[in-house]
Amino acid sequence: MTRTGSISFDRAAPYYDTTRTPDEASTGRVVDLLAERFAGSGHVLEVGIGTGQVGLPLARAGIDLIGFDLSAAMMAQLRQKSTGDPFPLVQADAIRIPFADRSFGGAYCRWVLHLISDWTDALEEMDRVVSPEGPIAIEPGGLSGVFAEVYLRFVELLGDAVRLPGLDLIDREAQLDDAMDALGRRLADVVPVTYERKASVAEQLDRIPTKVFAWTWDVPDGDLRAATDDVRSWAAARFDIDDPVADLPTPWRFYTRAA
Amino acid sequence: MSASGSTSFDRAAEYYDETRGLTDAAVREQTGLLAGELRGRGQTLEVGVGTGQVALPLVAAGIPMVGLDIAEPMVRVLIDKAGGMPFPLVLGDATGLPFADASFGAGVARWVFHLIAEWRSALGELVRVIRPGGVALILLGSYGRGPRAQIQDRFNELLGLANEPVGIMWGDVETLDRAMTELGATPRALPLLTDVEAQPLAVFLDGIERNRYSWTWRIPPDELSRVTPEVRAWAVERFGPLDGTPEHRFELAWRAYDVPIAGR
Repeated sequence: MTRTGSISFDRAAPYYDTTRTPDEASTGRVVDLLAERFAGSGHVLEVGIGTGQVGLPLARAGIDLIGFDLSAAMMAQLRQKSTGDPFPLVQADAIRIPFADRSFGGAYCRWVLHLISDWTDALEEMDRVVSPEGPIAIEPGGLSGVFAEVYLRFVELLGDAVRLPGLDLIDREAQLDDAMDALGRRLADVVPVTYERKASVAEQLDRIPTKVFAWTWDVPDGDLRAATDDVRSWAAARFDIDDPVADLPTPWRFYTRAA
Repeated sequence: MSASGSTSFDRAAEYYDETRGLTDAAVREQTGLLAGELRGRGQTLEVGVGTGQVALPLVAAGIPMVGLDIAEPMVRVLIDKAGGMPFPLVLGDATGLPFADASFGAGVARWVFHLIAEWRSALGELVRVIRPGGVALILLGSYGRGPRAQIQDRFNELLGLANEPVGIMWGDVETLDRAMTELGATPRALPLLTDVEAQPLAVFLDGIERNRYSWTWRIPPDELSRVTPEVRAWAVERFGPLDGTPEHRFELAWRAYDVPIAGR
């Protein structure tokens, strides 16, 4: 592991939404799901709210949201997208959440924990600021299927430079459930939300040298290009890299504390 | 004190509401005055929200508040009083507000800046997070010139200490006006509110002896106990029996600072 601490997405703010926006329908399903689960919860916290892809529509759906992010630049994008006052946005690190114990009726994070070396501390903090009866929802992101295979090939070639500091990108669900269990929170529910956007491995490989993904940020440009060429030939020999592949379901995991 | 020199009221959470506050009538007047200034401005940040003595009535009056405090135990009291987090409450230091520029329509701070060594930075931060055209409403900490102020002076005199808080001088509105003017905000007087002392001086003196006021926190407890009997005797002579409440009105000199629409 080359990095410790929590990775700020400052550098990704200008392009984040153009490279990471899921299709509208699946975002809608995520928002409906969270709106239903957090209805009547009082204030709800989004950890790593970023540009507000989930938070803005969720607030519009009537959830009383508060968001924080390590990157002010990402939240500046959120503010630009919102009409009028958005909900309160705080700059903070997930391993030291700046709220009192049991402040929230629920909390969630999406695509965050792989970026935090002390990700279990972040979970502990989420648990601390959420009331015992409130749910915590997590969509860890990460990589599945051919995309996981491709990434593992990069790990073979480039080693620790492409390892992110936090929750494992591939073996994430078991790790997450175990860490929550240690905090006294059980997995209550798993809700898959299938993204409709499809991407081919070739398209994905085209984007890797542009360094839009956090796991590429520590690799020198030349090394990344060389490795990408290598992985492309390796992949082409194994699968049809031009075939659009649906992203595998990335389930939302809901954790509750036993009464 | 934090690294930046801001005094935390962690230790005061348990007894804060018992030892500080206004009469109900003054709270109503204060809420009316502040709500009149804040209404229609969007979200208002209160720096040093503490147990919510100012903010909770403002929220009840329909003002959307966000509160910040350095002391988790104080915020905990607020949440317990409200039976849940009644409005967003953030833990943080006033000298480094965790909000983007121009996040709020207004700011409020009561009895805060005497507690912050870097109070000028804290004012700069408050102005930074208020939108152009917004307003900062500030009430400095002060006992005025009544019995309490005289008792405080007597303690300091006997202990050979200067009556100087960590941050801005008690009630030094002139210095505050100058500092805010330098930050580009325009001072404006607000109608003067007054309140009466509701607690007997005996309670105040007990509180001092029990180290319940921030100005006593730098005094070693044995020093405090040493001089308390003398101050007590002096106070009886001057103000009469201590279980009585001397008729004394004190002023609440809230100031408004308008943040200009065009940057300077």
